[in-house]
Amino acid sequence: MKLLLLEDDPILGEGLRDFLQAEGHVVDWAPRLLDARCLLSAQHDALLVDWQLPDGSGLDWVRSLRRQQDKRPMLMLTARDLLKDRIDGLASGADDYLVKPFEPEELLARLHAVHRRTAGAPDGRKRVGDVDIDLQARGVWLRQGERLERIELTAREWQLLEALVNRSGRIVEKAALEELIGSDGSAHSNVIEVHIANLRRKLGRGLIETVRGLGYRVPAEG
Amino acid sequence: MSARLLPSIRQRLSRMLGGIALAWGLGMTAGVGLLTHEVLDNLLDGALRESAEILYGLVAVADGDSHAAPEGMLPAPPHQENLVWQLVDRQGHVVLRSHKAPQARLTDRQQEGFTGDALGAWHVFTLPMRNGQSVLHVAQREDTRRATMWLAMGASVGLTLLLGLSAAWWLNRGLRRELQPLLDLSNEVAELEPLHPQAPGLTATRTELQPLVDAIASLTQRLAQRVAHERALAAHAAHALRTPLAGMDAQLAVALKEAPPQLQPRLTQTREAAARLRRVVTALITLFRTGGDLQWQDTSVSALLQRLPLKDAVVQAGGTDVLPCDPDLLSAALSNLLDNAVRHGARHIEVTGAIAEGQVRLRLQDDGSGMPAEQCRVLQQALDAQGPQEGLGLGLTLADMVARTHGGRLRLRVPDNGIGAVVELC
Repeated sequence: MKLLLLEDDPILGEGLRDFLQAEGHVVDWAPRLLDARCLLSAQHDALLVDWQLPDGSGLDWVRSLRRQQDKRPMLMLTARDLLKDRIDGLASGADDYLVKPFEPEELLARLHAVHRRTAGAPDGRKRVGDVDIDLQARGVWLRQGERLERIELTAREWQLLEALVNRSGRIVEKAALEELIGSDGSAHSNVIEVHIANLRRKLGRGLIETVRGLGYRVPAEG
Repeated sequence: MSARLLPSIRQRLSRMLGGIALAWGLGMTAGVGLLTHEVLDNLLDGALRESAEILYGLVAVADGDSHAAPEGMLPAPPHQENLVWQLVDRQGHVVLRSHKAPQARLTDRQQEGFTGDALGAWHVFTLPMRNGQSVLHVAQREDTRRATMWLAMGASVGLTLLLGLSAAWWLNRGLRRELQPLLDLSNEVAELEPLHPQAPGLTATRTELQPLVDAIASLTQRLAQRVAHERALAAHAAHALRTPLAGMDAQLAVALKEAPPQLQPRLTQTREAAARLRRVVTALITLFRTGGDLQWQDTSVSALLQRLPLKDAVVQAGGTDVLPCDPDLLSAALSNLLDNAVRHGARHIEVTGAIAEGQVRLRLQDDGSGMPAEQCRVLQQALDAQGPQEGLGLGLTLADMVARTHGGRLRLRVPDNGIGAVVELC
């Protein structure tokens, strides 16, 4: 997933960024609200937002995003643990509310849980044609008759597949994919084409469609 | 809190009033008794003398005519005679006498005046006759005189005591009524919520109570300010402590992923220590922020345990399903007690909840190394005294504070089988 982390504390922000990246996510870390507004793009799958920031309130930002019909998962990360604060946090539109200090593993589990709910896969599994994808366990199986064969993917291949599956039914531009997997996006880069080719070789040609001149698309679930 | 045996103002004043009433009653009894005795004595003696003087005239007119009186006794219808008389000649013979008077002379006295008979049965007044040949004795029975005096004295004393006791009862009743506002004020103070600005203040219903009400109002105001200040400090401290703790854990989690295998155990231990620190700090922040203002909820031991990381021991929940308590505080206390148990080698811990006499009772029994009975006693004393004591760690102190905010206390026990330790919050 591509995540936007808004946290002003450098030790926590850097620690969470590195932890989430080590778990295979792409993380944009913004220490201030202003940075977060600049970094926010449609490619972010979820937002992790601190409440109290040097230049404003993360809670108000979440509220304003919800007013703009932003339906992405949003998690509040805050030191405010009073019942009223927790209620206000959830009432603002946040999908979950995590009180500091927390263990990053718990943050990750909650993030996955929220993502599963919003992605319409409560059990974390998606099926596209003959391919079964477990977003939670990060596993891919190819159906061959009655038999399911587990397919091993590299980290980059998984990131690409996850990005496309999370947007199944929609066209994802090459540039967006480069951004999602944290590629440098240089003009002559063919990283995306190489990984797409590898995925097609491992999982079959029908999984990822090329929409000429626009990008790539994974068919909707089913 | 157990009622201590303190002197009671009402009882002391009641006793004092009772004593005054009793002393007054006894004094009045003695005074009235003496006075009554003296007055009645004079009255009866006067009556005896006047009777003698009347008889003197009659006997003088009759001139000692005793023909119509067999054995000198004058005839009379049957009657009760309280006063008797005799006319005695110079030889000591009774010449005339009243119906109930004895045949023998009452006394050998010849001069005018009072005397008693030889047996002490009669009180006699003697009056010599004008002819000098005889004397007149008029007498009254001593027991009749005593009965009359006792009756008069008894009635006077009874009335005096009745008046004294009635006065004491009225004073006691008045005292109780006047002390009632003090009792009402105590009840108001007991229900006072100084931290709630909307709570009604105290009212003085007597002038003498106004200084007390003013002092309590001033005290509660200072208390509320102090608590508000500490809560604000706790809120700041919470923010200042929570974020670095979360950052520390995140950094350690990343370091664990990136570190070479030989560093993993050391980093794991560091992370566990950080986790314990996190739990203690969280518990302290929770405790100090509440300021004794509990958020009561019905919960269960299982629900409390679900809030806690239970990695190093098997924790078994039992007992009642409904525990009225502040779940945040109680789980913080539990977390520290479980940490303690694990650090003392416990691998199996039983946590049982119960309600006893309306009080929440939480019991932890573990299979760790436990502690000797003497150490248990010393720690319990330190907990009871709420003072510093070596060996009394933050975990026990914090759990005791949580127990006290719930109206109970922490009790340490050495199990009968000698294995592990038992801690009760009740």
